[in-house]
Formats: sequence, C-alpha cells, structure tokens
Amino acid sequence: MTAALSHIAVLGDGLAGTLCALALARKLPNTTQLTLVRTPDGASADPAFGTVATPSFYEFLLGLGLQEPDLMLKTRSAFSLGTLYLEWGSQTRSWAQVYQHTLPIYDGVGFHHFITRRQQAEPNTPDLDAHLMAVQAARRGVFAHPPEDNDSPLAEVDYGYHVLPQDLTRWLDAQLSQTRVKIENGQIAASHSLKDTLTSVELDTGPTITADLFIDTVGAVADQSRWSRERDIAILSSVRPRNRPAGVCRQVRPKAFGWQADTPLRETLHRLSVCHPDQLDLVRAEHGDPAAQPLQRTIGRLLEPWARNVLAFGQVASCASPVTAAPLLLLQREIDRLVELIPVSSDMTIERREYNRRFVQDFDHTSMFAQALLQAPPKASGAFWETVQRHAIPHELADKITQYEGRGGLLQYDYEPFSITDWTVLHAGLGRRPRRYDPLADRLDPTQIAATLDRRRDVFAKTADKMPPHDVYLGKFLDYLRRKHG
Amino acid sequence: MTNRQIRSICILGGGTAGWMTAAGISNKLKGLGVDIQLIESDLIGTVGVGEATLPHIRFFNNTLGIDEREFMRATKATFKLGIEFCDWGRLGDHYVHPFGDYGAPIDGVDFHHFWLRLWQKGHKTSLDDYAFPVLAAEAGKFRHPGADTSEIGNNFGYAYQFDSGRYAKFLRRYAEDNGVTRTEGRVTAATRDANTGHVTKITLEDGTSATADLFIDCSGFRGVLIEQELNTGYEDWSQWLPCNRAIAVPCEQAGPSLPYTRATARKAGWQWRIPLQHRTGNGHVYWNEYISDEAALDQLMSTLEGPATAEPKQLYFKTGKRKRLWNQNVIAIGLSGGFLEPLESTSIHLIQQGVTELLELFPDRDFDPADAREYNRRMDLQFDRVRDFLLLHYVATQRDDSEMWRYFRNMTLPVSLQEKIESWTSRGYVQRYEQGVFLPPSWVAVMAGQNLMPARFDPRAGTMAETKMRETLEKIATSSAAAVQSAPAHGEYLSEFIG
Repeated sequence: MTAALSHIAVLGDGLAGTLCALALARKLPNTTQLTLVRTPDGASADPAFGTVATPSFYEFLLGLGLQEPDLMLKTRSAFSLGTLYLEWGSQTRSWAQVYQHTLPIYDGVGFHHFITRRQQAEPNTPDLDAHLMAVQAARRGVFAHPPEDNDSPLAEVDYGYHVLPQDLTRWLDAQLSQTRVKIENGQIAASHSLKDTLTSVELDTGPTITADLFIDTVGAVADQSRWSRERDIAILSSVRPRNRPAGVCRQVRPKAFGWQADTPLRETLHRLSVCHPDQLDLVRAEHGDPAAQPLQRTIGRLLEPWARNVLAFGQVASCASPVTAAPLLLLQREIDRLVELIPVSSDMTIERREYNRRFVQDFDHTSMFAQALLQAPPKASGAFWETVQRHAIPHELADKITQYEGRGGLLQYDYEPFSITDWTVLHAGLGRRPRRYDPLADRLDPTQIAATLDRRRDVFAKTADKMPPHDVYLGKFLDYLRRKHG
Repeated sequence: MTNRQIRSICILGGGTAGWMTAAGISNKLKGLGVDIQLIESDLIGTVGVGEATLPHIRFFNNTLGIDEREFMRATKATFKLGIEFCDWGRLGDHYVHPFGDYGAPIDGVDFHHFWLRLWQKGHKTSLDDYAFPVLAAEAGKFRHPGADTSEIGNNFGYAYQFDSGRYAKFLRRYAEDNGVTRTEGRVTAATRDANTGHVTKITLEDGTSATADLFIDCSGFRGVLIEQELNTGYEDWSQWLPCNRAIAVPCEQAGPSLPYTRATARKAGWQWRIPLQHRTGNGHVYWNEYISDEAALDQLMSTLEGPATAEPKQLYFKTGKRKRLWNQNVIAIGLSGGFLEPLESTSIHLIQQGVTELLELFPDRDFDPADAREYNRRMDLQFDRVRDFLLLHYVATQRDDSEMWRYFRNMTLPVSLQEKIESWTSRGYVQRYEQGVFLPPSWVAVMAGQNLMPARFDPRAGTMAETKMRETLEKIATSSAAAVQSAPAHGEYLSEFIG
C-alpha cells in the first residue's frame, strides 16, 4: 500500500484556487499539509465565471462553514430570482428564467401540460411563466426571502445570488487566513518531475514547493493540449456604479456581435459582453467601458483534467458559456467532486478515473443548457452566432427537445445540474409549444383547472404588489445584519 | 385530448405482469374512454415470478388506492425488511441486505466511512449494528416505521412477501372494477398493418379476434408478439448470469413467519426461501451445466423446512432482455421483456417500472418513435444496472469450492461493475446513479456483507476526533438496539394488523 498524501499544492489564487484551498482546509484532516501559491495572473480568467450563482450556492457555502449574512455584508452580492432573457432567439421572445423549486403537479400530471391543453383550446392563454410567483416578482423587481410556511404563495420561489468573482475571491481569501493553508507568492518558473510524477514547482521568488498532488488553476503545469473545443469567444467585463433600481434579475440581450448581460449588484451594475474574437471592435462601442480589457476563452473542456498527479481545475479544465449559471455551478461541482475524491494514496488511479468520468458527465450535462439557449439564434446573425450554429447539437440535447416538442416530455440524465423545472421554464421561454399534452390531464375538468390557473396568477400578482423593491429589501436586510452582527 | 388518442389497449397474458399492467393502466386512464382488454388462457400456466418485492411496490399499491390490510389479507402477505444472504462471501457467512441506510451521514460524509476507519484500526464492529432493519430482521421483529424519520428506529423501508398468484387475482378484481374486460383464449395469429408494420389484430383459437391501437405483451418467456411476431431479438446475458433453470416448491412453515427473504448460495446456483402467512415458498435456481435436474431437485427437497404442499415446478430461462422492450406498437412487460434471476426481488419491480414508464411516455396513435426510443433507453438502464448488482453477488466472494464459483472467479466483468468494485475496495467509494433501483447503501450491504473490505476510507472521515467518533457510533448502535428491543415479533404484529 502506498502512503497517504501529505501535501497538496493549489496553484493560483483566483476564485477557483482560493475556493479550492479553503474547501480542502475545511474538509481534510490536519495531517494533510496545504499550500496556496498566489500567482500574478491567478484571477485573469475569472470574468468567465460570470456573475450568477444558483440557489444551490446557499447549501454549498454552508457546507464550507460560510453563511449568507456574511456573503451579503462582505461583498457586493445581491439576491437573484434568475435571468431575464430579452428579445431572445428566432422568435425574439422575452422571459424570466427564474429559480423555482418545483412546479405543481395535479393528479400526477405536470403543471405545464395543463397550460398546453388550455393553449390548444384558447390560443391566447398566457405562457407558463405568467403562472409563476417568481416571474411576477421578477417583472416588478421586488424581493423577499421565501418563508418557511409552505402555504405561502412565495413557497414555490427559490433564489440565488448575483456575485462578482473578484468579490467572492477577496471574501474567501479573508477566511483562508484563519486556516492552516500556507501561502506562497510568485510565478511558477520551473517544474520537476520524477518518472511520471510531478514532484515540485519552483517559484520565481525563490521557494520550491514539493507536493504529492498539484491542483492547477492557472495552467502552469497541467497539460492542456487535449481540449475538446466548441468555439472561441472574447469577453469584456466591467462594473460601474448605479443610482437607480436595476431589478432582481440579470438581463441578457442578444446582439449582432453575441450577447450582453447586465447584472444588478449592491449599488453597482456589472456588464458582460461576449462576442466572437474577431468582432471586439464592434463590442467596445456597445460595452461602454473603454478601459475594459478583453479576455479570450475557448468554450469546451479538457478530455481528462486529471492526469498524473496534476489536476487541471477551474477555467484551466473547462470553460462553459456564462450565458447561463453553468460556470459557477460547475465550479461548485468541481469542489464537491474533489473533496469526495481526495486521493487516499499516491497511486491516484481510482480517484483520477472517477473524477474524470464525473467531470465529463457534469460538463456535458451542464453545457447542454447553454447550447439549448444559443441554438436559437436571433434573426440578425453575425460571426458569433454562425460559429454557435456550426457546433452540432449533442444527441442528448436533441432528444430532450424532441421529447418536449412532441409530448411536453422532460428527459433527464443522471445528476443533471439543471433541474426538470429549469428545463420546463427554458423550453416554454424559448416558445416551444408541445404538440401533445399528457393524456392523463384530461381526467381533470378544464374549467376547474382554468379557474385554478387564473387564481394562481391573481394571488401571485397581488402578493408581488405588496413586496418591496429588491434594493429596498436588500438595504433593510443589510441594516438588520449590521445591527445584529455589529 | 387530440383525436389521435389511443382508443383501445390489448394486454396479452394474465399473471403478475398482465394484471399489474391492467390495474396500473386502468387506474390512470379511468374516465378517458379507452377500452382495455386482457386476454389470457387458463390453460397456459403463469410463472408467478418472484414472490418477494422491493419497497417501491408500496408506492404502486398506494397509487391504486389499495388498502394495505385488505391487500395483505388477500395475498397472504408478510412484511419484508430485507434479504438474508447465506454462504455467499464464504461458506458459513451470512448477512442481511436491508431496506434502509446504515447510520446516517456525518457532515456530509457517508456513515460507512467512519465505521471503516474504526474497522481498519482493528475495532471490528459489524455494520449491521447500525441498521435497525437488519437487527429487527435478525430478531424476527417488525413494526411500521413511525413518522419521525430522524429517529433511527424509523429510518427504514419495507416491502412484502406475498403469493403472486393471489396478487394477480386481487389486481384482476381491481382492474375489472375499472372496466377492464377479460377474454379467455389462446392467440393463434397476429395481423399487421402493411404500411406501418404495427400489430392491428390478434386472432384466438376459437376464431374470434381482438383489435387494438396498443398491445402490451405480458405473455411470458414466449413473447408472443414482441418476439414470435416482431422478431425483436434477445440480448443474452448468460455469460454474466449463467443460471438457466429453477425448481420451485411450496412447503409448510416450521416456525414463526419471518420478516425477510433468504437466499442461500449453493454449489451450482442458489436457493430461495420466502415466508408467507400460510406457507413458505422455496426454489432452487441453478446452472444445468454443473448440476443435473435430479440433483437440483434433491438439493431443494432435502432442505425444505416442512413437508412440501405441492408438486415441484420446473422452469427454464435464459437471462437477458429483449433488444427493444417497446417495438412498433407493442410493449413487452414482465418475462416477455427480459429475465433476471430473482436474487434481489427485482422481477416484480421491473414490471412496475415498465408500467410507470409507459404511463409517463404514453403514446398516441402516431406512435412517435422518440417515445419508444426514450422508453427503451430508460428500461435498458434499469436492466443493465440490476444486472451489475446481481452479478456482484457472484463475484464478491472467496468461494471456489465448485465449478460454478471458479467460473465466476475467472470472469471478465462488465467495465461498469469492475470500476464500481475497484472504487469500493480502494477507498469505500460507491459510484452513484440516479436512474436505477439500487442506491449506495445496497451496494455497501452486499460488498461489505461478502467481505469485500476497502483498504482505506474517505479522508474526510479522518477529521473527527477518535473518541468522539467512537461515542457517535456507539450511540447509533445503542439506539438501534433499543428500537429493536421495543419492537413486537413480526408474527404477532402481522396477526394483529390484518385482524
């Protein structure tokens, strides 16, 4: 039996590296020594993580001993009900891709089937999103924490966060100082291997770090040659102050160059513009921040992020389009996967194989959601949209779409990060109307169901009317926290 | 509903599969004007696959609105907390695969890693001590789980052991009350549409015929429509699961009825014992390559706990599954769809799964190929994953005392199973899936139960101070034992429950 790992080194202090070091410190016994190497370029790819954390972020933070109040107090994060996609796709539709626990089920039949049935009888019936509490709140830009009470109209609502990668990193970094993680500073100048094993890295500042496992978040030692490449993009990212309400959802608009997202944060607004790398000039004018530095990324993933004793991590392992919440969701999954599979010995065969298997599954499942969105291009298409279209839809996604369009069917694979509800809202948002609905829906009287649907809309509208604007709620919430926590 | 709705369904074959399908479908389609008929012949015997079930059956019965007492009285059912496996890891060994977890996760880390940590330090407690259903089964006790699942004594599932012939009759009444018509007869021919290839009509021996939009083939091993008519093809899994014959015989019960099924490994197969209220079901599943029918029968008859109450019944099968369970407008449910030996009581479960998926993907008369494709994808996953789990029992063993056991020792495993075993033995890691019947605790039960012990444990379990960990484990064991202590004997509880 080979010895247990005694030392893990994390290279890079951007969001992925910092989060990884903190998670390992919180989850692993003290017998494992941990080092974080701060490199000058550690955070350079972080804008590609986007600004959207899904509701699962709450539990994820709790698992690391981190609390929502601290996140809200120490960063510019805001609450989020989802993303508004505006004038999106070939049908130029607008909808709120909200976070929703589950949709109601009547007599074993999913909610959306009743909408389809009613739309077939009365084509003017509003779409699914009009029947969701979160959408009513999202449209008004209002927010309140969902109560514990299951009978409340807000009970179906879930919420996530708008976050800035650099804010999160700073916040997490402050937590790191309370852990045993040793910090080194410097650029990786050289690395040394013995047979098939990376033994140490040398920093340009002098120190040499010897470790059993290297987690590379900057691409210093990981082999990145085997990358399954979807397409290249360029990203511009800026934060600016704001003095008027910006709602409780991120807003994403298609552009001739690609797409642009505005994310409301506390007292600021973040803008992300994504385009084809050849069209940066076109973007700059519309991005509105001449100082913004472009970041070039390749959407896709490594075939095997874990090779030898080197694990490519974060943006070094994969890049998912920030048009959905996928990038941060994948980072959460990466952390969870890693702590579950920290090697028990220097022979990492088992952990490597399982990690790589789950990595591929998670990435491919997650990126289907973005592909589903982007495969519906706007009418005026440019280089960005042409490139997107050239990438073939994976058959798993094609089957999902076929099932929904045929019968309103929802097809799920093992451990998909986006839920059945997320997919239902997406299909409906893109304007897909199933040809058929579940025949079992006909067991319930259409008049009664119509009354239930109308009542829902009415109750939700009235509830949303009474809720405070997000900025007001957040301000009061922070005041309360400051009073409570001093 | 659109005007392309299915107007008529014909279920071919009674038995457990046919009547479960008829009951499940008639319940869901009630009031929608769909004509459902079932054709069966009293002359063709039913196999009565598996008399033991998995906890999922309760959901099936609940959906039908079946009263548990009434059902248990009608089917002579007993409660089931799991399966006891004897002589699998080694001769003389036994363990229970329970319906429930061992302990509870600590800080998000599965309980068994903490147990492994102590075990690897030489503190070799049994994993069973931390599972109420195992301890209760071994003590012959049972009670329904209480509502507060945070209590260790409530955190378990249960199933039933019942007379599947009686269950079929019970469901027949239910289905007929829902308007299902039953026709007595034997199929002699099928007619197909020249354009679509769909089965449109079946003709019976007496010259009458039945037409339908959708046919469900529950005709057993023969697969009258799915195979004899549509030539769908069979995926033969005998290289993995080579047992190909069984003899079944009921006997009188010797002692109090027990809340678990027993599966005892033999030299060329294994033997089941399923206690019902009025009798015990027994059977010997074997590979005829290594034991003759006579010897297999002798083995079975010589180990019965009481006098046999019927003539032994001989069965022949080939493990595997139909290449497509949904082909054209025919869906195979039950033995016509596939056969996996009843080692883990999956036969009735796979019927239930077939009915559930069919209702979820219920077609219209256009029969969108996407629906059949999706149905087959889902059912294939179910079958594949059950196959791996069954095979695990044969390969996680030190037995080499007969040709059959030596065959398994030399087998190249399916990659999916090989990787699962390696992950476990290396570090107690259980590869998970969502879409499959056996969750990680089941895999832990069998692997640990058959002495496949990991070399290490999850490093996260190393963060807890050892004294605290010992105390935590001790507390779980104590409360599990206390919960069992206060539970009534299964027989008494059952008598009182059914009245």
